[in-house]
Amino acid sequence: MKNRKLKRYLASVQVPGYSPQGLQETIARAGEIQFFPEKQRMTNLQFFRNQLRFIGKEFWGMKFIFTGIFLYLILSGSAEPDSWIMTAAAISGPIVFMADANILCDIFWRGMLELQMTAKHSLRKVLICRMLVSGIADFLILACAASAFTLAKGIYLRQTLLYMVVPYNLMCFGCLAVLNRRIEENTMLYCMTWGILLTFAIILSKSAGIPLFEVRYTGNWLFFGGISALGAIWEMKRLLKFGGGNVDEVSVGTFV
Amino acid sequence: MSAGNLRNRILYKDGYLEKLITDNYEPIYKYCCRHLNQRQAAEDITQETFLKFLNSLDNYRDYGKIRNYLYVIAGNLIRNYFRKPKEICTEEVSDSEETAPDHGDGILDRLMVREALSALEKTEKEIVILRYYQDLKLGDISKILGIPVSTVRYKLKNAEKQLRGRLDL
Repeated sequence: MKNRKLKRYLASVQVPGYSPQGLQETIARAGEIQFFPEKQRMTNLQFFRNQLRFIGKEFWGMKFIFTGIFLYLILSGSAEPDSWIMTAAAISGPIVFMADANILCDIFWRGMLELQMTAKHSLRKVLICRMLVSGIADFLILACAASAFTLAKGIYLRQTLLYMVVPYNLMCFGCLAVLNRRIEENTMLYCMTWGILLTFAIILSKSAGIPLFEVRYTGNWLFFGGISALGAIWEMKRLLKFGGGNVDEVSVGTFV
Repeated sequence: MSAGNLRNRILYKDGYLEKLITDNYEPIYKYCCRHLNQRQAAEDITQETFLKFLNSLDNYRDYGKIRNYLYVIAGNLIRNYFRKPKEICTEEVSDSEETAPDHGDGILDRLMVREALSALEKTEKEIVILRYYQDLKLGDISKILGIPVSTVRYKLKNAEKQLRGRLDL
């Protein structure tokens, strides 16, 4: 009874009604809410573009300088098989790849795994992205150089490409093998050593008078090209499998 | 209901979100208005309550009913509102109040009720609002405030006693 009286008293204080616009606005704003946050994440294409920002200016600088020097050499030098210009074409691969090795080694520095475990994208994705960027850049540079060589000197394109791609593949194979067996901060040093060794091997062969660029040696070039391509593919698969960071930490284990 | 179930209903059941807002808008608005005494501020907080609720569905905790959870969010937003420094608003509920038909002492009664409610301890005032104005059961109030039902009952009795004393009932 007492409570009923109290209730009546309390009910004497009423609140004004709400405006229908307020309700409609709330419904409209609620409808705009994105319930799938993953949809707001960047797409693969955006991620790829974003990765380009993380690849330093030095990388692109080195590529441009190299392309410039090489084009100058092609247009000014002699293109006879025994000339130094062919040697320069052959050593272009290892030199071009040096910058790539640098950006690939960057992502395997100590502490990167811990960082990547908190990140949205896997280490494998970053690795694939960087390999793609460097691969496309190198392809363009080598194709451009080989075309310039052919146009300027009248040498078969396939021959020029062979002399450029085989040392590049060898360098690629060696560096990926080093990355797969990396010893922390020395990885880049080993990659550079391999590149310098390859370069010197080609230069020494030329100096020793070995006619590397004669047609009869094409079989040897193809043989080494095939072996190095297979080796590079094998090592790349291995790197992607075991260098994938936290994904592989659980599934296959990792040596990082 | 789990957060996942709620999310699925909102996402995949046609009209569920709109019905959820429409069904709960008025009680939440009134609850806010009881605390804030300003229509515009109450509408703003009501809207914010729903948006906060929807934006943090993953944090949804089961309070028995969705409305109970909305009361919890609204209560927190109201506390934040009072903590923030703000401009003095001239529009008070008293000016635009929907009043019961006035029989002479109506205005005086309303003023007395307001005064009596303001004099209550914070939790007791909250319990009175939820019980008398929002028509909630003691069990629901207990879940919303996170205190045992026995405490709610005790505090409600205490508040009623005080109110009766102040209102000369």
